[in-house]
Amino acid sequence: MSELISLRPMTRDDAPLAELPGGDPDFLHKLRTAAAAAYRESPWPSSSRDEDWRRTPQIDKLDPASFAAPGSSATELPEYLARVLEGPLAAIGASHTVVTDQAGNVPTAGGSPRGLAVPLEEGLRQDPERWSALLGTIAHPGLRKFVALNTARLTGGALVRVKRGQTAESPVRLVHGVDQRSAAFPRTAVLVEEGASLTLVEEWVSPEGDDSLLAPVVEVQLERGAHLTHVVHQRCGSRTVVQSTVRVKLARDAHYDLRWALLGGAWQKTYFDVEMLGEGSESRASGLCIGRSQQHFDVQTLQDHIAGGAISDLLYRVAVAERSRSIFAGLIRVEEGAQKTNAYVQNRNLLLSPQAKADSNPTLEILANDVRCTHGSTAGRIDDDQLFYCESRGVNREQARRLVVEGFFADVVDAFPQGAVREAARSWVLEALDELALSGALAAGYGSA
Amino acid sequence: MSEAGVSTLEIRDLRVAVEGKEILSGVDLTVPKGEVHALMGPNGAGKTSLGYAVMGHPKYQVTGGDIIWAGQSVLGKPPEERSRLGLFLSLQYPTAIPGVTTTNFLRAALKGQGKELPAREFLKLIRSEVAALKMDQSFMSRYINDNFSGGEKKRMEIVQMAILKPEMAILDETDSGLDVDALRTVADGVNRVRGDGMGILIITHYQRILDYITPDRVHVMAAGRIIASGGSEVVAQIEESGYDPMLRQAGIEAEAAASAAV
Ligand SMILES: Nc1ncnc2c1ncn2[C@@H]1O[C@H](COP(=O)(O)OP(=O)(O)OP(=O)(O)O)[C@@H](O)[C@H]1O
Ligand SMILES: [Mg+2]
Repeated sequence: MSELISLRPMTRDDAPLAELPGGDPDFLHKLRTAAAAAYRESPWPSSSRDEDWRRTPQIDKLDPASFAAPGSSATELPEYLARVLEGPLAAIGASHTVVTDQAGNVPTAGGSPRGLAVPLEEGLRQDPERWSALLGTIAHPGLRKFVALNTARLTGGALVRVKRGQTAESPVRLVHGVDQRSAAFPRTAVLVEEGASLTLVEEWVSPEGDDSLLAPVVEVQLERGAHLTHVVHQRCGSRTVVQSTVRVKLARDAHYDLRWALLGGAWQKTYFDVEMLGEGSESRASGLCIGRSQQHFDVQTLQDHIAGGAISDLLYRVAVAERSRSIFAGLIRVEEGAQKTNAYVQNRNLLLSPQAKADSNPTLEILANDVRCTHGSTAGRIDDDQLFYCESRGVNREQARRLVVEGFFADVVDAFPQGAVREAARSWVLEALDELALSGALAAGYGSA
Repeated sequence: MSEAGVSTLEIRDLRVAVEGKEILSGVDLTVPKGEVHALMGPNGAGKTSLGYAVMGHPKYQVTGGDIIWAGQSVLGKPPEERSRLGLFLSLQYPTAIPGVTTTNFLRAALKGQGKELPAREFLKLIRSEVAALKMDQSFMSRYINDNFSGGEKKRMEIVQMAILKPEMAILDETDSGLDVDALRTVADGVNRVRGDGMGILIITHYQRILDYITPDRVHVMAAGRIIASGGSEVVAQIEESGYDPMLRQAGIEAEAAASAAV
């Protein structure tokens, strides 16, 4: 295993190329070189200049170079990762699980996974041609600053492929972690071939403790008639910054179900993009977020209808407590000629304290004339009458608030894949509500008080 | 237990205001355990407000008088405590809580009352009570009152009453919106618990339900106070000539009947 070959130190303006622990294949080295150039040439995002960052001034002070060099992969599973692996999704099993941290892929107790998901480096070695045609083409380096950075700096991740016509029996699980004082740039590439189907669960995690940066990039290719159910669960420690891009291309009749749960971290900027490239393709997204203390969640989504006759919808439910804040910008873009598009974006916010804030900005950009597109957003407090109703039946105020908040998320939780994953999602929400209850965030007066 | 004060609901000279506007202007009403009383009166008289005040809805501020239940004032106690003490209010317009299933709601309610049951017994209990009100079992997994029809909501209130087993229930127009069979079912349910010594105050506009549940006493409210009380003959009187004669006798202008002292 060679050491990382960063001769120059990383700075905020310059991202020297990293290398996979066993060395980069040629195409990756070229891709990184282009990414490093893109990174150097684009200015650091600014909350005063860039619309994307307007409500997230934290970006102005972030410096990826302030984190420690990644070091080499742990030979033993760090405790925080072990705890995640033992969690409610343990049933998925080690042979369907790939784990990475800041240094690269981390071996799990069950040995190296076989089958649908393999560690990035191993997959690149086995099938460089296939993956060179995909990696960096969906989430290309020029897309965003943090995609460029991820490409230049990635040291691990996972490659997932389901062959033509196959239905994966078990879900695949990817755990991307980052340790204290580190920065991690995991990369996931997913290829679901024609008519194949898969459930993929990604978890973004870090231990409680010092500052860290987790910047995953996920790129997904869904071929004709392919079906992917994709779960993203962010449960980082309270001092982790998350910068992520998930970008999906859908061919004709492909079907994408995205479910996300954003619960941890200090602050986060997250992009979810779907490109509807084929007629008859369908994307159904529903996400949830529970914020507390000073947490800040900035989620930006794109439903890009390039082909006509496709359907996309998105529902995002947010509850913000204490001084936390949610920013949502959801764009439906219907390109010229994408007739018979059917698209919908909706953001619902529940404010659990007078200091909590939610900004919501769903927008439509429509260049075709025969389409059905709607968007909406709401923000409100817990309804007094609902609380009274619960209380009049013997439920105390805190439990009543909990019940109503849990109910607020019910349709999103119920949209997670049935079985272990849905139960896990339920437990994530309940755990977050437990934490709110512990800090007294649910004990406050009536909704309007 | 028949000693005075025990399990009796006593409302004494109760004054209630909403957002500074007086709605109840001195209500006196006593419902002893084991008795069924009816409360009638024109729209806007303050009947629903009385129920809310008894149950402790924070919007209905008590500005005078007292509400005494089982010998103790409940003023200042939160609704959940009043519920635990054995009071129950069946709402005129039951609240929907999207996302909260009937089963989860009832589980939370029983838990809150300290009457938690093992999972199997709990399910058995709610299944049988849902069946007793001739409701489909699918209501257990539906969100409580969400998109229920008017009559289904009323039935669900009675299901809850049967499960929570209060000692004193106020049924606010539970009969409105019920079809004739449901009315019988609800009446049977009420008569069943009445036999257990429960006190009940039925708020209604119609004689119909009182044909099935014979009230021990009938009270008439107008302009935020009780203007007449009597036996079943009061109901017949109202059916025959409306509220006007009573209002005149009480010195209330018909138009003012609906809104309390301004
Ligand atoms: N929350 C409230 N805010 C403002 N006004 C209210 C509120 N609740 C009741 N009121 C007013 O108080 C008066 C009494 O209302 P209440 O609902 O108690 O009447 P009611 O006797 O139950 O009438 P009905 O037979 O139509 O149900 C009405 O004038 C009503 O408009
Ligand atoms: Mg009423």
